[in-house]
Amino acid sequence: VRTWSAGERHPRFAEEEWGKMQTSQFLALPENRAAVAEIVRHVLAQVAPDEIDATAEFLEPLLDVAAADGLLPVDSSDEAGRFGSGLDLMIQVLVPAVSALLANLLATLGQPAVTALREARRDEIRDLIATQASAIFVVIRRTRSRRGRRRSVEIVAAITNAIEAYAGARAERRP
Amino acid sequence: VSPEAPLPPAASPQLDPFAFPPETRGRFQMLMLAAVLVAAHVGLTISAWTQDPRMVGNMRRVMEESRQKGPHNLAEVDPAHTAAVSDLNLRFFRQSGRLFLVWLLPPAVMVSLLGAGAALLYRLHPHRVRRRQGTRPLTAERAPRVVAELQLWAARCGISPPPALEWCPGMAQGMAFGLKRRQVLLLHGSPEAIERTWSGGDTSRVIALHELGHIANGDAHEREGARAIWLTLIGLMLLFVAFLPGRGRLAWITSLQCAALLAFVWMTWTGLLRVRETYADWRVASWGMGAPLQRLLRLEEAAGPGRPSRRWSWPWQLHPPLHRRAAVLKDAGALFRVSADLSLLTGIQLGVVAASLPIVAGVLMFLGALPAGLLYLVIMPHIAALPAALKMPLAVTSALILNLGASLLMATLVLLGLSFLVTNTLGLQVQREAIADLAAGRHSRWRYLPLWRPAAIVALGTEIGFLIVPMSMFSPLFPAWPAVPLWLAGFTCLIWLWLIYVRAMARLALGTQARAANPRLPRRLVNLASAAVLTVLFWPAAVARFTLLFTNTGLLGSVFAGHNPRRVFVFVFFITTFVLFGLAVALFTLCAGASLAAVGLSLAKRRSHCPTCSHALRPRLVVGRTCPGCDEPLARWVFLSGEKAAGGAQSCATK
Repeated sequence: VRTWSAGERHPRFAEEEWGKMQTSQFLALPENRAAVAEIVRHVLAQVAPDEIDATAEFLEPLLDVAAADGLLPVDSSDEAGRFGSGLDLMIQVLVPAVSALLANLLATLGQPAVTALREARRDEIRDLIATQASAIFVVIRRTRSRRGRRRSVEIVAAITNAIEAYAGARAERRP
Repeated sequence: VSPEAPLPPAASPQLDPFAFPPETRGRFQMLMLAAVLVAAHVGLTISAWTQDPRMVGNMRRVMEESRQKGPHNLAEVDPAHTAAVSDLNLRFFRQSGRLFLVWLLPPAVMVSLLGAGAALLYRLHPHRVRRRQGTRPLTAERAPRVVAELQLWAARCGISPPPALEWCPGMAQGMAFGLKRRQVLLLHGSPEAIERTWSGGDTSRVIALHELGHIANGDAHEREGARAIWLTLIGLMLLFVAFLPGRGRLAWITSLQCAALLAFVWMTWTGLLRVRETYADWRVASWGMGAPLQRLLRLEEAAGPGRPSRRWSWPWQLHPPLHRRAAVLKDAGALFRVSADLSLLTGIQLGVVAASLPIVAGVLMFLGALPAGLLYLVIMPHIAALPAALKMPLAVTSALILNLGASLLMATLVLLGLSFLVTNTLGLQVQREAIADLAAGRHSRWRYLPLWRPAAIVALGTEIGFLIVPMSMFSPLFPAWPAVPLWLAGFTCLIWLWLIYVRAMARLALGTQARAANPRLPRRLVNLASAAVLTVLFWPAAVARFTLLFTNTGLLGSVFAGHNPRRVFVFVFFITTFVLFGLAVALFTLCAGASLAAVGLSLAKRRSHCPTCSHALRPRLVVGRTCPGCDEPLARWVFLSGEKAAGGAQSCATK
């Protein structure tokens, strides 16, 4: 697995390619995959609690898709014969967004496994998340989810909080 | 949940949306018939523009010759000359028959083009969907559990042959498409992903079952059939508009009418698809999977407040919002109500069909009258040779039966067909509403009164239908338009009378059915009686509408020479309308009273029993009542049985 030193930018860190290079490598490690699943469930509980049970079955297949460097756009076309145009599942937004953000954080930190987040300096993690969280909007846009776009600010805030909570940064920041 | 899994008992009896055939089927049929009639109507309009004046001249000459040479009543003709007069009349028939064949050519070409184009589009639509979605077969090797379970569901639900299973990239979506008896169930996601989600929860299964519900309801081929026929008609009408002679007011009005017609068709089609979605949801609930479906449909609520309102785009959307589907799944009562949009769209469909009908009906009447008229001419010389005592009555009777009777019979058959279409849409929904009211214990006789609203909306819709059909004979854009509100008021009253009859008949003939199985025969009898009564009421409405045309043609001016045509028109219209209206009401009272009395008498003689415990019952309205012996519902056919209702009712209970 190719890694980069802290502060080094990925050579293909263009907006449209954001996160794409590292996601498959990142999700190849089981602990990373488990971390994404945990964070996604955490975020889902905040932004769409009703979906936790109904969409749990899609988590693993979506992780498989992300691990194959893919992204499943939300198909909300109002075509005759389909189930319905309103089925815009939040999990289809969260899995690629969280995977890509974590992969990019680790690439920036130069670490392969997500456990490194817990060992990194708290202020460094906070700064990294703060500077790179804006790029989640790109992933949300690429998922073509109307609901994701409408609630993108809320989603980004929830993901940031969940990663901070996962890394333990927020807990230690408290007096 | 596998198909064999035990199903929880129902919390409370739910109305079974499938106790009656869905009214959408009749509306789809009406939509497709409207396309054929509009094509024929446009073809006949083209005939009128492109006819050869020499042929019409020839026919007029023969007609004039026939008028000059002899009396019309062949019975008064000397037997020696009867054959000659008959020959002359036969010549006239041949001439007019040839002219009619030439006239029929463009509509025949239009209808043939429409049929061929629609058949081609319909046959090719599975290939179009497969190409666009990039589908591949879903095999038992790659998704064994999914394939086995879906085949089991299809067999359990009586879907034969089972649909072909296919997959395409994506997630959490499904689609049903395909030809009749060659349906395809498409699932989004790789076979491995579908197999994985299948064991992880019920969402994928519910989506697949919803699509299977569409297949069980026969939605896919009706939807695609209607789309194919109207897409072909759009193409033909674009050609028609492009080649309209001149660029004047007529071209503009025709273009606007075409646009309005297509907008109406799109609205009707999308409206039908939206209703069909709720029926497919209920099909899933009737299979015991209502609870997970309800949970899935409730997901949209997670989007929270601030969702932009899309009321303006509602008529154009193919799917209802999920929360609306969830509401209908919670309470099927919405599928049993006569909504304003159903009344309006049925009215418009009726108007479109009726506006395209006169010329087509005229041709049918002519084609019906042709053999009868020829027979009359053939037998007349023989009748003329009979003794005087027999000659006159036989001549008059055969003239009435063969000349007038055949045409009237054809016209009545056309109106009966139209009545059946309306009965299978609005009439069916009124029957459902009557039964739902009984089930809910709403027995008030005042509930007949609000039926004036759907009646008025149907009348208004009919007028809109007349307006949007290009070159319509009944278009209100003619000098007699001030008389249209009067006609509308009369038509509203007639439709109201009919709706009252349908409701009363449904209560009497269906509300007394204490049985578990669906009462198909009584339902068909109710439909037949309703259609027959509507035919009786359609006659005066049609004749009154035709009298409005007299001002257009100037016919009155020529018939009543020396009188003010406008005054004559007003006189004729009012007299015709009031006489016909009175006659219609009298006929209605007679037919409706007789049929209701017949049903009432047959019920009085019948002994009914509880379908559960065979407890003897007094003949009365049983829908919504329970058996005094076993406390079970007497009209079980109206409700979902315990097993079936598990989904819908259980999900509501958990909410």
